[in-house]
Amino acid sequence: MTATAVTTLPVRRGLRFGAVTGARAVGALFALCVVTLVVVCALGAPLITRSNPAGLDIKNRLVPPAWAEGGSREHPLGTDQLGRDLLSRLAYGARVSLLVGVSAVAVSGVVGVALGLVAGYYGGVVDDVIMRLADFELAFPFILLAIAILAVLGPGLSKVILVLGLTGWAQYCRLTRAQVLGLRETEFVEAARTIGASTPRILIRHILPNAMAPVIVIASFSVASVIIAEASLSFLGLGIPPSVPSWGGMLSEGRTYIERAWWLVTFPGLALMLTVLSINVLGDALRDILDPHLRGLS
Amino acid sequence: MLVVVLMVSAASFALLFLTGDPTELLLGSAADVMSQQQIEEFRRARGFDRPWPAQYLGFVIHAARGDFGESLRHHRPAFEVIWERVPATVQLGAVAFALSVGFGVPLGVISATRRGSAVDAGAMLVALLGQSVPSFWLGIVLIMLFGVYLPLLPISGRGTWLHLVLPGVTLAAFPLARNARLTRSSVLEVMHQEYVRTARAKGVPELGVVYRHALRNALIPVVTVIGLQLGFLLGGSVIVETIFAWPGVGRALIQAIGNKDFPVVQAGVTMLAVTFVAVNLLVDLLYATLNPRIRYQ
Repeated sequence: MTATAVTTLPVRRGLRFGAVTGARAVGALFALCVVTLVVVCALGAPLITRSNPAGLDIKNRLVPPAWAEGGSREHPLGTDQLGRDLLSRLAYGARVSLLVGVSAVAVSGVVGVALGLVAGYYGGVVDDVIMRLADFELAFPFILLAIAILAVLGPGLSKVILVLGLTGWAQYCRLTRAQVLGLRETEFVEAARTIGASTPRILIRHILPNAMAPVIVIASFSVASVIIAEASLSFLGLGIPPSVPSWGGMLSEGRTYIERAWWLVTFPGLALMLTVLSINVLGDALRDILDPHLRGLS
Repeated sequence: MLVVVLMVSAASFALLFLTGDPTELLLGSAADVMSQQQIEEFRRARGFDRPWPAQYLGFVIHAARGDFGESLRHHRPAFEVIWERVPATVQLGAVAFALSVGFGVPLGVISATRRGSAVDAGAMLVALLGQSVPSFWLGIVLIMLFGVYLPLLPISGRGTWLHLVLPGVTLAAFPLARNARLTRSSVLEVMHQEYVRTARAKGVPELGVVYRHALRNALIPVVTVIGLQLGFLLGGSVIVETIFAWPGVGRALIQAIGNKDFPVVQAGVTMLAVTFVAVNLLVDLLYATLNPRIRYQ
């Protein structure tokens, strides 16, 4: 066990904004703008558009975007097959994507970090059991697991969050465990133990803060992949129920009208891609800022 | 490995019990027209009144023989419904895999050897986009392009090799982008190693340095990831098959979910999971032959 102690040193404190330079800085700034825009749209959805995302208007169905022939100023991005305003549905869809992305990652992060702390600190049988579970989790394509579980449970927002959250904890667990193995034998932990600090206190006050940097980096990439997973599940009809506007669901419905209404599949897809791309770019930048040594993690 | 297979079987067994009593799930709307007594009989016939461990044992024994019960919709063995779709999925997976390795790895090598050039920047931008495009959207865009504006390629179904192009490209996009990025960073890292400097110093031509000395070592981490991707192609194929109406296991699975045909769902999930585990085992073995260093550990 002591052999592994030398391999990981405690992460150095301090943020290195200088680590992101040149074209990468421009890209990161652009990504930050996109993510901010999506967050603002999600939070302020009712303020941005006055149209009700669920408001049916059969007379105005499949209206093209404002700049195209036959478009109207009232619906800047056009309407869908039931006459619902596309822009307001996109804004409300951002809520679902962000909510699922952040909550599912929070669930898997908390579960994974907690198990990783325990496995790394105690070792022995506890470690073995937890790591075998994690191996199973990692050895299984999680989208398949999510499909299987949701097939039985049926669609629903909280179910999607729970399923995506509970199928993604293993990577946090392994990462935290590796960090703890290194930190466990360091002098400051030894010191805390000597002055009689309780195990939970050592784990939470002394080890956890030093093990967080790579976890945060992985979490930022996970938000992007969870957003894609949610959209894929909703697209398959297994994620968010059709009554709630979500990007994946919109793409699934728009697919039927592909020949008559290109805007129905173009805008939700663009929104999805730009959001995911930006989160990934921000994750890259975050990794360099928190600790340039983490390069290669992704 | 055996542990994982057992866990897979437990997971697919547990699927039916997520909602409590599987009787309702299996009978579906038929339960409404049946009398209480008929429902009880069905429950007893399926053994749902027995204790859990006994039921699990029964499930494992049957599943090991490929017996998942009868499809509720097709009225023939559920395993048969899945098994006949395997060739289509394997074909699509093989094409996507070949594309992702055949284009991804060379793209990464070219980018790395011309680091900082326009070629490098362009390739990496494309790779970044490829990693961020959700596969189902890429599929839809391709269908729109080739179905509506440029009717050159068939956009759904299976038949000639032309039918393979669009689903193959869609499924390959993500792993291709990932391979390119990974190969690039791996080659760049190796190029700084001392044995590369030695090779240069003794006058090996640049191409020889890259292909004989650097690439062999740079590809070790790439092979690991490529192996893992094989399994994830299975997961991705569920979505791609649905979009392009490709008659594979993934589409059969989604259709069965839509029809509430749970024996077929169980057979499909178990099939994909076992394949995934088998592929991973194969990759591990292959990895050991490629990299002699891990053989002795």
